Amino acid sequence: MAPQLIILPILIPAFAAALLALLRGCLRLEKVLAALTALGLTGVSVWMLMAIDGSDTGVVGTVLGGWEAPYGIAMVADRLACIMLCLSSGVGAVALIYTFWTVTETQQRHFFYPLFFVVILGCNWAFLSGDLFNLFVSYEVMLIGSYGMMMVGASKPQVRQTMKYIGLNAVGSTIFVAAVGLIYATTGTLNMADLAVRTATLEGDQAAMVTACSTVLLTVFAMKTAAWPLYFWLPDSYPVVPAGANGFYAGLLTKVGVYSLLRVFVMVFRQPGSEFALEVLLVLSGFTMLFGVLGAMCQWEIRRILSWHIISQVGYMVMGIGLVSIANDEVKTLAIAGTIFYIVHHIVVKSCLFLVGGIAGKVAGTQELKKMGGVLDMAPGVAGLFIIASFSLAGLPPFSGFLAKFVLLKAGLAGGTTLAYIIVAVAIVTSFFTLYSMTKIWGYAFWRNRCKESVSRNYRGMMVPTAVLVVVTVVMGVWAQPFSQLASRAATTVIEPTAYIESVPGMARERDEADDRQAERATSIASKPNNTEAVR
Amino acid sequence: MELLMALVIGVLFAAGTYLLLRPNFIRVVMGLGLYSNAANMLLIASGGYKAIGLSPFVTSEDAQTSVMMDPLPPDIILTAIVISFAVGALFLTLCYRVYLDHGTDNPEELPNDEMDERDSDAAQARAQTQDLEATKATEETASDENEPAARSLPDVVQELAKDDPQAPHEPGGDELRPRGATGLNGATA
Amino acid sequence: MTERDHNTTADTPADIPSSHDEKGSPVLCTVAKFAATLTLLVSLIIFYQGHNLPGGGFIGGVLAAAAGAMVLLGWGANSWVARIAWWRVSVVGLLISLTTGVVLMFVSPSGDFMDHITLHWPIHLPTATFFDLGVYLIVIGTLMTVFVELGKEEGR
Repeated sequence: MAPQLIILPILIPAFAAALLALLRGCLRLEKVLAALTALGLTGVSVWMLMAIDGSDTGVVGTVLGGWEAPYGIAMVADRLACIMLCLSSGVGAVALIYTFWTVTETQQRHFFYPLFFVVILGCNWAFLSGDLFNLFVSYEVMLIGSYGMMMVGASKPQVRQTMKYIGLNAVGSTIFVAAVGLIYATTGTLNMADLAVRTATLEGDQAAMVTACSTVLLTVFAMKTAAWPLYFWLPDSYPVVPAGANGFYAGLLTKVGVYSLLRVFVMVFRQPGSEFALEVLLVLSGFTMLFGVLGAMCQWEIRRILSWHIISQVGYMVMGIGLVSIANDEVKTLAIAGTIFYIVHHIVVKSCLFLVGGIAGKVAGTQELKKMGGVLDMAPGVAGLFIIASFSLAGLPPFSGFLAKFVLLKAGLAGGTTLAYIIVAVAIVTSFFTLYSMTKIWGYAFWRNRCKESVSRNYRGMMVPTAVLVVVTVVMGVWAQPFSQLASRAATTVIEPTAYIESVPGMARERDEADDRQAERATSIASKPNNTEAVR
Repeated sequence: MELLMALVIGVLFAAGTYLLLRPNFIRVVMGLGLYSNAANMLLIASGGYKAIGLSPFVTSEDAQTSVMMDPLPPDIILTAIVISFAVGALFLTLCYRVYLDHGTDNPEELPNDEMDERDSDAAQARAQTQDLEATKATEETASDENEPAARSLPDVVQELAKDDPQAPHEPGGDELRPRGATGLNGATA
Repeated sequence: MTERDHNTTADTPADIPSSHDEKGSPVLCTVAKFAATLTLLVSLIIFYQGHNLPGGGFIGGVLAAAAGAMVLLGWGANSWVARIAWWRVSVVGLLISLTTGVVLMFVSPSGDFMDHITLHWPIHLPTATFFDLGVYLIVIGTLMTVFVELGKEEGR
């Protein structure tokens, strides 16, 4: 494929958002156009994944505006980015079609669909950007879209929660800018490929400086990922997002943070001592898993339970990233592949659960567990969807969750350090707790015979998009080999960024120059043996 | 110069943090403003200093690029300013809206979520059924021409605010009214 | 409920005739006439020179919005300026910018998104200007939306 085409997943939602905004008021036309665009976008993403996975290097890069790297704005699509693109577009399309049954006219008049596409645009942009500052801009686009969508309808709790969400994210963004400034000051570049080249050649004080600056970035990503102790914004804000859209939020937004962690801390920062940030992540992951699931256990509202579960699930992915700190290539590949597989599984299943929760709420008239009951009798199909998705979330075979957890635990056990063992133990305990709180939803909302009459019968259409996601998680569990192999292939490009670096126009030359510089330094250091000691 | 910059950045961040922790939304907004200024100063500092720093415009062939300033940090700053401006405007609007909703700009005085979530659930269900009926009723008649041209978020904010009987007549509310706005509305006042 | 509120807000400006007594102070109006025109001209110049000198779409747009703010101050929130759907201006600007980038993918030799070529006829016109035109419109649209909507105060 032509490298220029990789910006299509950014351009399509951008145009769609603008056109849908101009079409404001034509309710039906807007829906049709939104659905067609979302499906087309999914098609483009899948095609990109196929094309890039089939190519020799597995990476395609381009720069915008005809400036070569490191000056131009690089956009790079490797396998990992393409997997994420498929997920954001696919889950976006599913959630968008689901909203046809939930969106109100008022919401639609307040730019619900344009904002939806702005969020998809931000996500896709974040996955493709090969430049730290560009990543920041894409985060902002995504966040501004999400602020708007969270407030669509503007009820009192919505406005209050959005206020907190904006406040926290604005602080996060400022720290992001500061981190970008610090990294630019220490390394002189922001292009990810260039950073990967330059940080690998750093030594001594300079390397320590970059590590220090990267922890500032770590804070930002941890906040966006909702890792412990920076998760407090999430459980309050997600329940106020309009139904349907919250499936997309739950699936995608925090995973953009996980993706950034994976991209930046595993691939970009390669200076000696870069394991420090990963070790921190490994420790955080244990707390994230445990606190998330404990929070979920004491909630009594479906959306809140599921929101807390996002946190605990994020812990698993962060654990996979943290395991990269163990210097063993096999463990590294296994951990990253496991993380990628887990991300895919999680996005699908979590979105699905939110959508099913929405349907159950519609059937029972509320999402408060203590007031619900009897959904199994009223809507057996919905109950079926829920039980499959929740088993998958808890990690029971034969669904995708089992495999995802299994790979991560295997990587942790293969790691062989005490810390890894502890984290693995926490992960297993968390898994049991997850099952417990899923049974709670099942027992109260579905199984218990309480209300006999369903509030709304208009839910059958909503089950179709939800069922698509359920089918994906079953297929990923039963017929896992192609998916896990794709995940391992994606992991290799992340761990060994040579192909990534060479794909960016202008970077090959830049890297050779860096190599020369390093060779010069090596000879000069070799000629002064005392100097080496001093540096160490 | 570096030391001075470091001091200024540190003071700005410290002051911003202090304001962010105040129980008052307007101060939080100001704190965010200070934060973004501090981050932008940091970016300026990250570009490094030159004794003679020309502005980086290459207008002729023999331009001395070596004495020019690094153009990337100002570039980034401009983008960051635009973004923080947009978010700031949105945040201010929301502050105003929260004030109209609840008659306070103190986050600690805002009601607990669980208290009115039930109300909102019920209200949402009501709105949904109303809306469905409205859709049926107006599907044929509704068209874009009946719509006044601009009706974006702030518009809605105020429109919804009208539903709230207490907020608009809150004593002391007038103090919050921006002076420029009164000027704009001089005719109606 | 939306319908009802909606109609009242829609009718209010139409009911009041936009006559002379609606304006703010006459001094402001008189000054604004000249100052706004001048600012708009300067903003256009700054916008055009932006491709190789200080200036450009953003700064030009901010200046033009300043002109709009003067008009709003002079003629009040019910003037014709306040009734334009400014958000549409923003969206059109966004479309112009994006389209420029896409057209350049086909026109420019490298085929990159937002590549730049210079047209020499009829005037010296780099394609960056078209992109900047979009930015100019976006900035005017956004700022004017903020001014108009926050200036309304109909809630009180």
